[in-house]
Formats: sequence, C-alpha cells, structure tokens
Amino acid sequence: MRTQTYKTTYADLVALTPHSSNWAWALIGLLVVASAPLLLGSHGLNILSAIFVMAIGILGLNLLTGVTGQISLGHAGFLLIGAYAQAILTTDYHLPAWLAIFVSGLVAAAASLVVGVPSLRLKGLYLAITTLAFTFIVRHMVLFAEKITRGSEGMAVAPLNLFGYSVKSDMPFFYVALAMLVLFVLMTLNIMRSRIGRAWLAVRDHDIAARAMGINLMHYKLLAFMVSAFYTGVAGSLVALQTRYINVDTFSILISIEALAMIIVGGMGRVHGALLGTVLILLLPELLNFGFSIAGNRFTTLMADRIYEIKGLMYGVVILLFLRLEPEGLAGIWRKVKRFWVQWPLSQ
Amino acid sequence: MRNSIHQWAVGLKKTSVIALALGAGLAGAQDVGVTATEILLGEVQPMSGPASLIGKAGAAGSKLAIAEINAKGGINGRKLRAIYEDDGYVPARAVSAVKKLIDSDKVFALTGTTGSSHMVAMLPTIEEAKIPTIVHMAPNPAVVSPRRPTVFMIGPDYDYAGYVPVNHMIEKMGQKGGKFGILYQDDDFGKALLAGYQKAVKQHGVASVAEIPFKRGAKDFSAEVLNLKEKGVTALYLGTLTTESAAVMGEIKRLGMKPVIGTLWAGQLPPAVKLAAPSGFEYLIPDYYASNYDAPGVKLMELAKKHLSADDYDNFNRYTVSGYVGTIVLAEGIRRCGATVTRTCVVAELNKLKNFSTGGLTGPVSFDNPKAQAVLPIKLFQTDPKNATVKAVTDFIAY
Repeated sequence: MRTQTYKTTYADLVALTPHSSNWAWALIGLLVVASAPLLLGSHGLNILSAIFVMAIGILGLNLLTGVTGQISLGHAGFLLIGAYAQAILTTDYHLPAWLAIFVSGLVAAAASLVVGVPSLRLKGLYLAITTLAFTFIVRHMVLFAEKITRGSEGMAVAPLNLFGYSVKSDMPFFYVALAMLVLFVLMTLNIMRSRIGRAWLAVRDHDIAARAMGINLMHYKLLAFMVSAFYTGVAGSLVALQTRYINVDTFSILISIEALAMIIVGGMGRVHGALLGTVLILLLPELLNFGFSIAGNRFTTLMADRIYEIKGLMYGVVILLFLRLEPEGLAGIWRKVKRFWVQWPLSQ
Repeated sequence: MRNSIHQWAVGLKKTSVIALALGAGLAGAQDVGVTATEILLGEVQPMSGPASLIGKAGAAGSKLAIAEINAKGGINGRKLRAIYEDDGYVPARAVSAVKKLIDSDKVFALTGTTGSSHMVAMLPTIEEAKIPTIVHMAPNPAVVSPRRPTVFMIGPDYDYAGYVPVNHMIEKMGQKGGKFGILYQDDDFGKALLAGYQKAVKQHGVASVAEIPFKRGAKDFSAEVLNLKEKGVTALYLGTLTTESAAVMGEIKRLGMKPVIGTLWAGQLPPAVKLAAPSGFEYLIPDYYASNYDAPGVKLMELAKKHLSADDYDNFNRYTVSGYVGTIVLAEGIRRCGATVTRTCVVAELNKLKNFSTGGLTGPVSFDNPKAQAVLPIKLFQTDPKNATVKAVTDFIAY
C-alpha cells in the first residue's frame, strides 16, 4: 500500500509527476500503444491516428474551457483554419509539410484573436454564441475566398515528408500522430504547472479574485485563446495530412459540440480526462457497431438505417449519464479506481 | 531399402508439387471477399447528415439489387452480401470508412461511393487497393480523368444537365426568341452546368441575358431573382439543389414572373418536387436514371415493396435507381467471370462491357471507352405541381 503523498518542497509540488513510478507506467503505456501496428490493420490504425490527432485539439479546448473556464463552440473553425493553412502553405507556398504543421498552429492562434478579444467582455452563453458565429464566418470565408482556398471544390493536401520519407500510409502516420500527441501532452502538463497554468485556473475559479491577486485578465484570457487555437490548428493540419483532401464539409459545427462532449465526459480541466474523453467519444460508433454485430443481423440492419439517430442519442445519453452520475467524468472514475487500488485494503 | 526411401522421397516431392499447384490454383480461383458461397461488397454512403436522403436511397437500391440477385440463386452459385458504411457526408469519414471496408471487412468490390468530393478523397485508397469500384451517384469528371484502372463511372458529365433542358426549351417550348438566364453555383459543378447552358444558347443563337453565380450555401436569392426580372428573363436554368430551387421559385412567383424553368437531376427528388410545388412551376428535369413516377421506376418500386423493409421503401428516389443500377452492373462483371471470381477478371470484364441493358432504368451502359465512363442518354421529365409528381416528356436520348 502506498501512503499519502507528502510534499515538503515547492519543487515537489510543481513536479511533472508525483511519483517516479508514473514515468515507468507512462512508458509502458506508450510502448503498448506503439505496438498497436502489430495487432491492428489499416482501419484500426486510421482510427487510432484520428484519436491522437483529435486529442491534440481536445487538449487545447480543455486548456481554454476546462482550465480557464472560457466556453468555446468555435473550435471547428480553428481546426478548419489549421487544415487549410497546411494545404495552402504546402501547395501554394511550398513550405515543408513538417514546418507547415507548426505554422498552421500559429495561423490559427492569430485568428483566435477575433474571438479572444470579445471574450474579455463576454461570458457563458454569450461567449458560446460568439465562438459559434466564428465557425460560421470561417466556413463562409473559405467558400468566398475561392482563389486561395479553391472554394467548395476543396483541396488536395501534399503528404508529410520526413527525412526524405513520404508519410503516406497508415503506419508511419500513426507514429507521427502519436509522437505529436506525446509532445503536446508534455507541453500541456508543463503549462499547467507553470505560472500561466495557475493563473488560468484562478481566472476560471473567480476572475475578480484573480485580478485582485495581480493576474492580468486580458493577457491571460487572450493567451488561453491563442494557445488553445494553436493546439487545434496543429490538430487541423494533421487532419489534413491524414485525409490528404479537405473541404468545408469536414469541419461542421458538430465537431465543436463533439469536442465539448469529449472534455465533459473526460473530466473538465484534466489532461488525462481530455485524452480519455476523446478515446471514448471517438470509439463510441465503433463500440456500437461491435455491440450491434454481436447482437445479430436484425440489430445490424437497424444500425445501418438509424445510425445517425442512434449515434446522436448515444452522445446525449453518455453525457447525461456522466453529468448525473459522475460529474468529474472519466478522470473522476480513474481517480477513484486508482485510490481504491493504491490504498487497498484501507480504501473505501 | 535405399530404393524404397528414394521412391518415397520422389513420391513425396511429386505430391507436394501437385498439392502446391492445387493450392495455388484454388487460391487463384477466388479473391479477397469471395468464398465458395458468398461475394462481399462494400458501400460508403451518407446515411446521416445533410445528404442522408441520397445515401439511404442509394443503399436501398443496392439492397434491392442484391435481394433480387440472391432470390434468383446468386451469381454462379454465390450469394451477394454488402456492408454499408456511413460517412455523414464528411470526406474525412469517407476515407476512414473505405479503409475499414477494404482492410477490416475485406470486401471484394465497392458499389457506392458517396458524393463528389468524398470520392476524390477516397480515390488514393481505392487506387492503392486496386479494388473494382462503380461510381454511380455523383459523376465527377475528376474521378475518371486521369483514368483509374479499377474505377468505373456511370453517368454523363454535369454539362449535359445544363444543355438538355435549355435545348428542349428552345426546340419544343417556343423559346426561340426568348431571353435566357442561368443561376449557377460558383464552383466546378456550377461551371460545368454553365458550360452546358452556354453550349445550348450558342448552338441555337438565342440571347443569354443573365448568367448569375451564387456561393454554395446561399439561402436568400432575392437579389439574384430581382436581377433576372430586370433583365426580362423568359427562360431560366436553375443550377440549384433541392431547397435552393424551391427558394428561387418561391421568389420568382412572389415577383410575378412566369419564366419557363429547367433544373438538374436532383430536381426530381420527391421532397424537392413537393417543396417547389406551391410555386406552381412545371419545371423541366433531365435525368439519366428513370424516375419513380414513370413505368420502369414504378416497376422497380413494386420490386422494392417485395424485397425492402418499410424504411428502405420509404427512402425510394432516383438514387435508389442509381444504387440498383450500380450493383447490377457490377454483378454483370462478376457473372461474366464465371466460377473464378477475381478482381483482375471483374475489372477486365467491366472494361469490355458494352450496351448492357438495365431494363429501361437507364440507357445502355458501356465502359468500353478510354475513361471507362458510361455517358448515358438523358430523359427529360416535367413536374406536375398540382399532384407534386413528375412525368416523362421524352425517352432516353443520347445528346
């Protein structure tokens, strides 16, 4: 049984992990995930890659909504900006694809100022509607700026090229997406333990009190929007690299709502919550397919005919269940299970 | 002793060679997705989202063809089965879905390939897998230019949808001295319709007084229609889809205009006809598939009543005909291969397909051309707004 964690220095308090064994477990987990190509085919790897890519964007949304308390329904817009930036920078400006990934994030971060500035005066529902409007504006701008974006026709995206090797197939892209996710998880954990992360938490918990403590609200709210949009922009560029074709249909408003569902189900403000929420929501259709296939042909047919309705229903049901039964989300369940395991037989 | 061992070794060698040859032969006799009793097909359709009307109907058509073929004993003793994947009309999901069909489900061929941009997104995966594919729903020229060796497309280019109704207005509806106008979506699809329209007006030397583009997603057409009225348009081609067409016609009626109107194939979808019916216009619709209001379509609906679920039957529209035709064309390619069904053989047989009859649901289907595109003849329909139906005004005519 592990005893309670006692921290005696400030360095202990802000350490990336409370125990050195966490690193070992993380490494084992990473090795297990990295060995997925041994078991999964192209489709399975494609789904995992999509989860990794989406998880990067969700980490960004979590920083904004879960950590800083600024609701956003505009992340589909940032995702779209990142994807189009990747396509345009590599196709028209011949920027190396790997460099374009990060530049796309910066482009999205710059665009976030459009909603970041109004966020200084808006809260709650008003901010949600403003960010939602941002997605509509971005989608229409892509359609209107035909000379740059090719309008509704969409754009083919050049594959990623690393060290002279073209990342076209699923397995190499899987590893690229995994590496990017690891990078962004480490970035997020480091941000969370820095002054910036603590300031964001203070803004979320009580912005007036935070200001009284000397936190510049304008600075930190704008920074939250920009960092969040950077993450999502990078995720968008990876979406473009995975699909190798983009148009506005890929970035519907529904993505923003799904993204919110992921952080609610995962557990707001927690890094592992964001990851678990992404995995659960993105795997839901696959789990449903699997469940229905076990249930037999009749249910499979029902699934084929009513997939949209069932999927929509399941999102709603899952979110409702989590809000009602476990408001802390999957992160809360994880915490309870861990406590039970670590403190057994004294756990309750 | 030594001799007997030698004979045994030689015998074993011969047996092994024969067994290997037989094994190789048997392996060659069937391809991925083909067993002794079944051939597995795959479809990616927009079963959810804004285009679910199209996807569900397309899937229903494929189910109908499969049920009919299987009821007759299948193809050379093998039954057909299909797996339908939903892409929600999102290209990224279409790519994921097609990868699942090819990699996990291991389908033999694809018969449903969702919308234009979705198909473009799926093409690299399809080309890489070298899987026989029939594109029957959205005949995007980019699919067959350049030619993809295993991809076959049913349907003429979009410019025919612009040309045929305008040509008919001039020749048969007294618009030789009329003033023509067009509303078209400002993208490749719209420009193809514009090209067909311009070909017709130029060919007949009639006046085109208004060629007005609009952006995709536009909902309000009041300014465009006002422009048409100011130009005195008497014959109008609408390069609009279901809800947009109804919105434009409503606006035209509100401004008291009475032009002759033509639109493209999506105009004959029952919801589109119903939506536009209150405006009272008897607009023209070109199509390379039979309508569910004319004889071959009605016959297919009777078959659908017999083989499909109530839900699938309710989804019946031109895309059901499209799904049905796509599947029977692929089935014909498979049938011609006999007992040895391989992708290579089916592709070779489809390449040779010439004047294949679909029982009046389309003109004859031929892929024996450099693009492997069946440029089908076109039938003209006209709406009856009182009964919210359509009726055929011509037979299938090659233009």
